[in-house]
Amino acid sequence: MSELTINQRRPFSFKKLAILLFLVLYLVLTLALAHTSNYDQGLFLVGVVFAILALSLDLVAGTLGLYSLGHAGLFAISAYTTTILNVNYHWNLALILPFVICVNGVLGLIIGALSLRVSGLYFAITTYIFTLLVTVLIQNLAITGSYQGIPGPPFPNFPSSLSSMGTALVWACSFALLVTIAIIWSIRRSAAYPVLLSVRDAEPFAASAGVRTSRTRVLVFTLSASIAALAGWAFCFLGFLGPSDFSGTISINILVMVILGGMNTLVGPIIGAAFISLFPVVVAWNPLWQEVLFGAIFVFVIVVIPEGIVGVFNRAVRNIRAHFSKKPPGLVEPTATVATTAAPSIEKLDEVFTSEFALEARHIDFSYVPGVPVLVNVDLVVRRGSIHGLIGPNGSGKSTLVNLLSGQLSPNAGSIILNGHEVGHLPAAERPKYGLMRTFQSAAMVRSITTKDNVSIGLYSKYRWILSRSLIWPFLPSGHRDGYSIDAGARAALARVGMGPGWARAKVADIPHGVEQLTQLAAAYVGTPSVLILDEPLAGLSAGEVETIAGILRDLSSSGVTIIVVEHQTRFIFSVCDEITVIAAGELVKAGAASDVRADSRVREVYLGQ
Amino acid sequence: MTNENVLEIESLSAGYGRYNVVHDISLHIAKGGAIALLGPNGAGKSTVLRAIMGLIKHREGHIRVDGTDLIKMAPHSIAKGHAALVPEGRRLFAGQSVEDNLRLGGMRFRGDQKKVDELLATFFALFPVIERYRSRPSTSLSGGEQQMVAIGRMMMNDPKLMLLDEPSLGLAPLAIKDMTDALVKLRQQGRSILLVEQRVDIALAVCDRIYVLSDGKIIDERVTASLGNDGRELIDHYLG
Repeated sequence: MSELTINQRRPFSFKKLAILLFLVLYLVLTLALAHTSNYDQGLFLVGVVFAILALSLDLVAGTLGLYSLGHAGLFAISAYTTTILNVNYHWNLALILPFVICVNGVLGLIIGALSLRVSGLYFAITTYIFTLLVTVLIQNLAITGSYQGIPGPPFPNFPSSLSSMGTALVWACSFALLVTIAIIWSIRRSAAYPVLLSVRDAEPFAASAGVRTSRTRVLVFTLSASIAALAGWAFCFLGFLGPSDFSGTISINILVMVILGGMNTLVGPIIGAAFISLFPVVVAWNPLWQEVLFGAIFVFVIVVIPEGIVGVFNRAVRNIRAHFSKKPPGLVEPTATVATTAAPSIEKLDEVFTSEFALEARHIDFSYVPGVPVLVNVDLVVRRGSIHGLIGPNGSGKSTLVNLLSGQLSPNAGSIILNGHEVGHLPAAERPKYGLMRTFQSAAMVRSITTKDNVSIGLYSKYRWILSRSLIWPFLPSGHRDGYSIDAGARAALARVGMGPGWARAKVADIPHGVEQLTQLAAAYVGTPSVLILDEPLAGLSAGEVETIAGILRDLSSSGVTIIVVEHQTRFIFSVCDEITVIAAGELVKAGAASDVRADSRVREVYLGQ
Repeated sequence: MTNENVLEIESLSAGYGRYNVVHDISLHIAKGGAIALLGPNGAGKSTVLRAIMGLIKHREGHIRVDGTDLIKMAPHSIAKGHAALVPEGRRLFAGQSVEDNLRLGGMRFRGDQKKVDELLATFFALFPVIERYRSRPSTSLSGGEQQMVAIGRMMMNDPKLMLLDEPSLGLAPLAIKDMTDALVKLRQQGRSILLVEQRVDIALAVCDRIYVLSDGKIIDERVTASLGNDGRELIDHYLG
């Protein structure tokens, strides 16, 4: 892998040129706008402020699925704080900016923590109440000018030597938007982006790859709130601040901008903000009919193009591309699932483990509902380097036991020792550090991104500071380096399970079930686990695919990985596993060498039906 | 032909969006007969079932069930007794009791309480084990029992053609045995079955003919009786 991690410097890069062109164009546009009339500038600045807000909201709504209606409240707090500190207390505007960013960050931390307890609709309602609360405060406090509002502070102009630059406020707002765009762009290009989507769509998968999902949600919400502070700071220079500028309707408007433009895109929120800010100006009729038309447009978008303006554009591009290529999208080179070329060999495990057992779960008790035990005094002891089968009738508690081992659940009693460490009390995200990775029965991954990006999530615990570095990822040499190395690692893992480069580019939503199972295996294997748990890896696979997986497991096992496999296909289990544990109705029936287990009369009775 | 066959598929092509997954296939099931579709993942087996049920908009050709062409029919019309499906992964209504799941399967007989009760009794006669659980939440049953309920929900529709999508998925050997026995019993009652399976042994136990699907085309058709009892030849040929 190491030779692939070297960042190849090319003398000319199309991407760099594009970024440079964008920057030049952006500056020229800003310069032009800084010389237009006050009216035009006012329109533009409102658009910019809402573009920042929409981008900050999309960061949590689109990427993490947290539909916050608290952004108008956060927006209000930073706008009023800036005004009051400047007008009443004469703080310097440049000093106020970091201050309001911190204030909003702390509020974001608190509101973000709510997302751990409530999600979906309840999160939206709770955050909406936050906005209402802020509005009520603004309306009733003397310092915020109650219903009348307060005038915003003036923004200092350029010194006369720089007067050719035009209005300074335009430059300030434009710069704030540029910073926001840069942050969002960085995150979307970083290794953290698939991770964020996995927190949204596939939480157990994310957690078992070592992602601390709760913390991630709170941190991203904090970031989003801080970006919203930027918008509030800029907004107060535009004139009067009144309660109606920050009402709950504004929160909904921001969400509408995101949806209209296209959720989970970079350009969508900006287009949405521009559209909605300009709409009342362009369609300057009777206010009633204006509202009706606006409502009609929004309903049309929701019903006909729920993916928003950018989504429609992307779909058109995809269709045009698909028109020129005969094959279905994603299924480039759908040759054989099994690549015959030699795959890179597994790296030797860093640590040398001395204990004979890789995993020892002893005297495990568990119940979902008190009084209804699901597992009673179950032992699962797995010899290092072996393939260990876990079998039992449906409903016997196998998946529950696996979830206890991987930390999705915690046992009521008993101990789980993983590579010599007691891990029974640790959350799922901590266990990859002790060498454990796992797969899930089905539909565990992020369907909207490629198999390669899904596999790269499995590398999360191998790289440090992925989340914090994502803010400036493309600008960091280490970001480039790790980006290449994660990419190469994910491709190598896919090759290792027999998936050619064509599959790496296919979205999980487009691939057949068997390939999805292989992708999951790659995503678990890529984290170089010492213990790998597979939960029904063969469900729905054909005989040929079963052989492929059996071969992979034997290879992994011979390179020192301990494998625990839950499966029903007895022919596979008895031919692949060294040792087998059988549970039925939550109790241990038999554990031992595969041949002993197969011959056991109770196993034949409760499981094999012979 | 029409009088003898419960299902006749003639040059069916079906797929998603602009892409066909199934290309120009033809097959038939005699009244009271059972066939299995075998083949690797992505071959288009489930797509055939979805096309019969009208769950795929993009389909061409003819799908005749007992003489009626379903190709232009909406799913809710097809579900009026022409065909009924046991979907992959069972898909029971999680919040509902076993009995409610079953009664919902008999939706098309609403208003005819006698018929519904009659069908319910037929089902419980076939699966006496489930009757004990009739008021339990459907998700509290084991995987094998849930599969029985899913089959029961399909039976409650009293369809001319029964479709099953990988009913053995995720079941333990003992549960697979019970499920296979149940399908054999349904055949003894004269039901017509189209079974999609990965497990050749189940297909051999239940069906009289087997079609092998690959890349959306039928590449072989066999009479089960000619395959011996393990179907090794078939597995080695296509699936191994």
